[in-house]
Amino acid sequence: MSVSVSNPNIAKTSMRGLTNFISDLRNASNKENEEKRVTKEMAHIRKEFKENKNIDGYQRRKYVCKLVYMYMLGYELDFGHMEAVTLLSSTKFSEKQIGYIALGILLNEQHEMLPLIINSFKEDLLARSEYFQSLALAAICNIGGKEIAEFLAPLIQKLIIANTTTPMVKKRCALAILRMNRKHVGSVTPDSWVERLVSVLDEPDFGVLNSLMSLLIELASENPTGWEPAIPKVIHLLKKIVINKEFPKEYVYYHIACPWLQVKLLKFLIFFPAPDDSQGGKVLTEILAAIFSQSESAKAGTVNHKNSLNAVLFEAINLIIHLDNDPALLKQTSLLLGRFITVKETNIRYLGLEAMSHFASLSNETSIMIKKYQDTVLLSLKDSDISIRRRALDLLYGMCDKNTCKHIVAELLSYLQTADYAIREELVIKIANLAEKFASNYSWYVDVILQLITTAGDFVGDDIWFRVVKIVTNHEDIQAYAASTVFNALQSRNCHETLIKVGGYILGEFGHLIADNNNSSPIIQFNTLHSKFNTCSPQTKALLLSTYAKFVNLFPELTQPTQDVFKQHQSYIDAEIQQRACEYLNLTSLNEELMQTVLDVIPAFNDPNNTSNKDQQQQQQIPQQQQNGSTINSQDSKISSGGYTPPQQTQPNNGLDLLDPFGLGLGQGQGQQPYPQQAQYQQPQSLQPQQYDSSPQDQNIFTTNSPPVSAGSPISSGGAADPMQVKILASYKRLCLGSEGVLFEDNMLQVGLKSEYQGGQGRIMLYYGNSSAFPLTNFNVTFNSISGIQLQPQSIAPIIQPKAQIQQPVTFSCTSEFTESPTIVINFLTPGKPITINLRLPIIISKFFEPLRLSSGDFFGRWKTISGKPLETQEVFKSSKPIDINSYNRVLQDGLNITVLKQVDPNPNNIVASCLFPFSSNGQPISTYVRIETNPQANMCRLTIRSQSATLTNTVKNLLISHLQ
Amino acid sequence: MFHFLLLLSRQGKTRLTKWYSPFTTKEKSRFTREISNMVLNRPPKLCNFLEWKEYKIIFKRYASLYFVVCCDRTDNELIVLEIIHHFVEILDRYFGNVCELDLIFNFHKAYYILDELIMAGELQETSKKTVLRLIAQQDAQQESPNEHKVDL
Repeated sequence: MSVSVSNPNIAKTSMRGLTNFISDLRNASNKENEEKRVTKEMAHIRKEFKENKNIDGYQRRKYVCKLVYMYMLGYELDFGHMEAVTLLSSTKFSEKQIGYIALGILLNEQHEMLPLIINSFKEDLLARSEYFQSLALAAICNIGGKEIAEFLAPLIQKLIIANTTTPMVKKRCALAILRMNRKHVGSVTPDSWVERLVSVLDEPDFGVLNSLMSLLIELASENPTGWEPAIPKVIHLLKKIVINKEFPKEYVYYHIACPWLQVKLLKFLIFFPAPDDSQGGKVLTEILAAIFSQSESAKAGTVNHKNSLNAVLFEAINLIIHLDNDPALLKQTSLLLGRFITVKETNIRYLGLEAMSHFASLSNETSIMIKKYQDTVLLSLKDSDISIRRRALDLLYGMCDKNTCKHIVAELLSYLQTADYAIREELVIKIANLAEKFASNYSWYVDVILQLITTAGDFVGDDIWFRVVKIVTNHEDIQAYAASTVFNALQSRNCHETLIKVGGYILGEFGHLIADNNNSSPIIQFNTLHSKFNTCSPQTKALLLSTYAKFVNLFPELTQPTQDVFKQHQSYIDAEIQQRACEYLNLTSLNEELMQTVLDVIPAFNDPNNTSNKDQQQQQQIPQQQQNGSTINSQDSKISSGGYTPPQQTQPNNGLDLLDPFGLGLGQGQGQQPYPQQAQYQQPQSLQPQQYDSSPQDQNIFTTNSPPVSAGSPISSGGAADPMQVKILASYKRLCLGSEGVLFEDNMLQVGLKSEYQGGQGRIMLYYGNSSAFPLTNFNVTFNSISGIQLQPQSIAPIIQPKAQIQQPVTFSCTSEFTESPTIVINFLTPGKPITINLRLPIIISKFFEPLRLSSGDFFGRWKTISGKPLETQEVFKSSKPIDINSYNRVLQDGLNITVLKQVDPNPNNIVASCLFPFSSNGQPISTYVRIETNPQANMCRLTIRSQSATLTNTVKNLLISHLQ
Repeated sequence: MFHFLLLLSRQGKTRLTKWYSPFTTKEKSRFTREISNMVLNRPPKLCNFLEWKEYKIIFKRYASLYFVVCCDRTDNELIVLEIIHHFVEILDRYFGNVCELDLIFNFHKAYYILDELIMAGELQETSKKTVLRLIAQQDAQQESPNEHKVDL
């Protein structure tokens, strides 16, 4: 294996020992030999470092390089870092350089060695040699870290504006600032920086401009407010390059003038509203037109020439779509995109489709402009490249409307049969959404969903089949049709389990509508379902048992066969199934009246905005819903007075009902746990969902029957229960956002709290401090867990001495969504008087959120897939203090663990954020998407939340209102 | 911005990795594996872009080496392709018709050339001439080769 040492560049600087060593390793015949060689070399180097006092710089360099090479091959390294540091502090460039390269590879921002080398960084930054400065800046970019940022930021800030700084160092300074700002978002604020950075825009060196634009783009993407002074200069620079054609020759790349800089300049402008004429708005239009005409005139050329040209062109198109103020340019754009999606080069086709998606979503007019390309897009759906297919799917989804939807959905369904697995899930969700959004009649919708389940059942999530069940329940006219269609579908030998679930549900509810038909008589329906029973998962089996119970109620002739099934499962291994079997057996054999009430038809779901075009039908349904609502109420009271857990705990307008259509607590382990409290306060409001929506969570901090401090206690006798409550609420809210602090404090007791969360596990430490002069006796704390959070406190001593403190660790894990916080009751005796304190623990669902970083396209893609109550909710409120978008960002990002997504919404007053809740009761992670639009002048704020779960939508909304208002 | 850059051989061996975002060692090896699979198994003539997690993968093959960049979805895809090409041209000019072996035996050089071109995940210098000049100046800072004659 020979290496070209003839090259002067390499020959001069290569190290033969290193080359030989790498050769050896490459020649090793197997892994074992390689390891042997590595072990030998490690031992040798270790010995040299330890014993050879006269080791010279060259040797040290060579050894460090060898170590880095071994590290890169995946071998652990437990020494050598110090030698790299020694190289770093050498005055010889060659040694310093290797030191920096090694540390850049070996260290990360948390490494314990960092404090040791920061000083070397500083010395090099202050050095007169621009090479030393450059090395240090590169290392800062490579390693980063908070300490570096804090210690070195002022120095770098000075360097970037100093006249003596060379271009080579300046451009690195810009990127180092960028890197430090990423770690410390908001450390570079416009007030102190805008003037300095804008002045650097006058720099003639294009390399410096290029790096500076990267920095400015990043800053503007975080928050464009304050950076506007850069706009005229940026437009001026564009004009210089595009129209005046003034640029250094060495920045021409394949006949295009510095395409990278052009792209960056255009990208920067996307973060601002259309510039007015004083900022150069007119000139910008000229520039964009010029970019278009340049691309027209130049057709031939190398790939690199075309790529650079088109890169600039696509960036210009993005900007035109963003500005949306020049009809002529928009027209041109639509024509150009139409051409792009038919060209031969896949890259251009891909980008054309992507840009067209943005274009289509701009307005009605633009979406009409591209209607004519629909067939081409449909064709792209069959492209051999999955990247293209994804883009085409996205675009079709955006293009779809009432008139085209049947055609598009049919095409998508036929594509689904051959689509590869990587894209199926996305496809299924999109088809289901389109079918529901644009359905002109529901039988078509039912057909589409059933076809989805048959073709790609594995990819049909629970939410999709819940939805179809809900819609069928709510629309009487299609119930018979749905029943017969499902029944027919069930005849196939291999049914997907989801189909069995839908079938079980629909036949259980509406099977009687087709029972008169000889081919689908009750017993045939039962046999059809039961023939699939044994192959099903426990969850589905449980659902089928409920169906059978419903059958008994509807068709007395099925009593015998179904009861046989219940009997068989009375001691079934799965607790849920066993419980259902026992209960249904009793229910169906004991009391007929009770059975009829419990197993009555499910009433229509209250679903105020099903889809926009169904308003009329909705209104017609309201009287019916009212009736149903009252039926349930009476059922509930009747059943619960009998001490029975009603299987049909249907709660209209409660997101939970969808997770468990029969109200049986599916998948909740114990199951059968109705939510009496929730049911109570939700039912009266089920007809007026807005009311429930607008009641902020904080109103129920203290249960009404237990004031925070019991009557007669010294605290409340002061007559100041209200300020105390306000104080407790403030502490609670603060701790909801933070991890430690004081939860409660008065002249006798102080309760402090520290918390930590990891995955679905949480641990809090409660500190009870006695601030009084006498011991607190009979001290005990009762913990009230809630559904989803089981608290496990350690026991504590019953007495706290004066001025003493005791600790109580509490652990818990999150097993499902939850809306409220668990509470504690503290009881103790002061001399003569018993005291009771009720407190809420700051355990809220957001503590279990995990970050969900999405790009703009992704966010809106997912955002669009969810719509309509209860999965979506919107709230407008007036903030009690002046709106500060940065503090909002902090509350979301740091306090509530909701990832703020930058670069998604160009409006600086808006926030787009998302989070992931991985611990839902059905095991599926739930994503939640948040948009906050603020109007600082009016101090108004509009919240929109969409999530895959109604519970989360509401909980997140309540949290945000409570912490932002 | 770039989150990382990988150089993969056609056999799936990693020749150079550079991480611009903090990932754990585990993530790094998982990502490398996942992406090698995606990129190496992709039939020719398809587009050079792949959507992966919340990122975009942009890659190009030069002889036996795949240059792979993972960047934000908002990045301009074509310009990223040209950044890759820019890097290749500079390597080519520096090593004189660069081959995979040059990058293996002179890995430390490849790293510092890359540092000259891309820092903090952003393109730093777009002029080939300037980059090569700066690298040459730095090489000139090194002491003459006859200084290190003792070799093992």
